[in-house]
Amino acid sequence: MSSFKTDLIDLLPNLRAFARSLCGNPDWADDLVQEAIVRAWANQTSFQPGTNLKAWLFTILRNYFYNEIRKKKRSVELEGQDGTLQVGLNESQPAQLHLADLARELGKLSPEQREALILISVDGFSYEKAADICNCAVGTVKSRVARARKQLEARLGGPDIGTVLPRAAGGSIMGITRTS
Amino acid sequence: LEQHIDHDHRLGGSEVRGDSDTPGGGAPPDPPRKPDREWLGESLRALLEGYAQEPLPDEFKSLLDKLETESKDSKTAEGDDGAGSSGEGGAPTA
Repeated sequence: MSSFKTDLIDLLPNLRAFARSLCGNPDWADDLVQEAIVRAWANQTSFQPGTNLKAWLFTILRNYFYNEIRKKKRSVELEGQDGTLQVGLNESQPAQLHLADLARELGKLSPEQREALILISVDGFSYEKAADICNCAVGTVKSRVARARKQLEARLGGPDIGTVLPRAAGGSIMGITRTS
Repeated sequence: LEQHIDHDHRLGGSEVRGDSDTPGGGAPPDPPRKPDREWLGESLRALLEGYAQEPLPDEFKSLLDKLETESKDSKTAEGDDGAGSSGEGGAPTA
């Protein structure tokens, strides 16, 4: 198995999580990842070994996502039926109210704010690398992250939202109580 | 660092919690508190980790296998044709 392929497989969970945070829809996220795989494979000779493969893959996926948005092919699908990101908590993930709330509020951010926040706070990219991925200035990333944090903190009310609900019978999403 | 600064602001400038500059005999210093803003990062990571831990669909792996096979076939075909290609640029298109 080629090293490129191995590295790509290793990064698939990260890529998929990023896609999910971008579009909010699990099926669409998988489509984005598949397309990113195809494009990355087709252009692997342009990837310089030793540089940041994760950032390169995220850039490919992100560009494809925004191309789709621009074409308005799937803009309607950006929101779930109730106007929120689909949380998708399941058996393997503890049914935590705050995660459902967080996912809902995350979905209300602009895609640009959401991706900046995820790249910095979750994936640990530097502001410079995140700016490269988002194709914008470092200051723009900083202000997007700051606005996103402020918005989420204001809407979620701080750390006290983290009440863990007992898992519902069957361990499904039924344990989640959505606030309106 | 930013989070620590924010936290310090919240504590107020008059509350100095240093160790070496504090005279003895007073109440023991409070244990260091985690910056309040960190809850957001931790919650975001928990949410995204949940997504990342979901089992990957088999189609990802089979897609990569297919791409790899096509790539090898393409290189083999180039070799059979005697094109003298170095093998570069043999990546299949979508």
